[in-house]
Amino acid sequence: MARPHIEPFCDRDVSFKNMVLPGFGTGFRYKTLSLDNETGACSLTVQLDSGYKQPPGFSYSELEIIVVEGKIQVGEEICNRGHYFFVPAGYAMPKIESEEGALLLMMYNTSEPNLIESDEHHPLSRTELYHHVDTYKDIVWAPGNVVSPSVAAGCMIKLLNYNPDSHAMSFLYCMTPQFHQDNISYHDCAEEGYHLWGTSWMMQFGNLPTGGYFWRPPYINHGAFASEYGCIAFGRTDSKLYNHFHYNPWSTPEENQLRSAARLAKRDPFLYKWCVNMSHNHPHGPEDFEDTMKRKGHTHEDGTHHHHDHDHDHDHDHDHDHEH
Amino acid sequence: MTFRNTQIDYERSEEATKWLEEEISEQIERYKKIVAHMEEISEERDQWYEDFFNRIKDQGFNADGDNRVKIPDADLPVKPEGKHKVVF
Repeated sequence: MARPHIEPFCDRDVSFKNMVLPGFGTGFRYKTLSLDNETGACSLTVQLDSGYKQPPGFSYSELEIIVVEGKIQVGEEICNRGHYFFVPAGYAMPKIESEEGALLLMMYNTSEPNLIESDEHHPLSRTELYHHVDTYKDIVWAPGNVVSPSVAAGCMIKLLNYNPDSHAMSFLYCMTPQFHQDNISYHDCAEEGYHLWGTSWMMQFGNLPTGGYFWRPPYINHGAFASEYGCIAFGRTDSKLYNHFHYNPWSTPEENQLRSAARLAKRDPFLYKWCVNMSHNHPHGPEDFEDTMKRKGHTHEDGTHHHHDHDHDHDHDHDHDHEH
Repeated sequence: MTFRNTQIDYERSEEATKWLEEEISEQIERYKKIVAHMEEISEERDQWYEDFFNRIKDQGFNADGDNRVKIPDADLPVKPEGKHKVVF
């Protein structure tokens, strides 16, 4: 199974543990926020003790980091609170040090934490995807209406990372003091949030303070929303964020999922009928000809072409279950 | 969360397997505590729901952004029989 529904949780309520996995050295302490039982993918609050030093190295997992408090030195660059990193699997980070200590949010996206000491990238690393930014100084707040229907005014975002295939996003979001939004929402995607500072309130779960966290699988009701004094938080989705708003607090995830499908059937009836009637059961979804069509260059021996940003293994041996 | 699927396959060590097993056990306990806490605030939540219904009747439901639509009392949902859950 994937990660369970962890909501609400506050990392201030538990103690740090020493990291026992190899490679991280002493002075790396953590609290687990959520964990995928199978892959080991996890989100951690990490305390780097003052004087912490980590040699150059890479992880087999994709990794996202944001500096919550304090500062770290990455190679020769000083990174203050609010600094965000997207680190592809196999990307060798330079040495990391923290003279005065730092609090980090670290998200291992595809496996349990691991660190292989190396000053060279893994040969399979997609190094071109690496990026980092000072989110507090180098990005301005944008209105939260990047999706429609949208959140109320007073909820703003800074987009940090975006997957053009799945529309997954990583972002900062904030709520202004006295923010309120009177609807209940659910999404077709999983959603994760961590309060860097401040408190927000949700009608199902109550207050989420500084250090508050949630991992919410798809189709789970959340909201109405409010924040008395404002808050700033880090958030992520694992695919396209669509706000299904309603006002029935008792609807279940199954009913919400049915409603999503019903809305798809109303909005895209031909596509919906095709999906249902053709019973296409390809393990990775239907084929996108742009991923597989023959092209003048870059064609594989078997005649297929794969887009460079393709998101699954190149396995041509899986079973297909097409009923025509 | 598989943001870009840039995982590189590798063999999980015994150390990592043991770490993962311990973390899974702790997560089960964390989940149980959350569920228990959400049970504890059930009455308070019921009142929050009532307050919400009053607001969307009087001030409106946020249908999209700041567009608010007042919901007639007759259109409000009826609480179903059975236990209400907020954590799944």
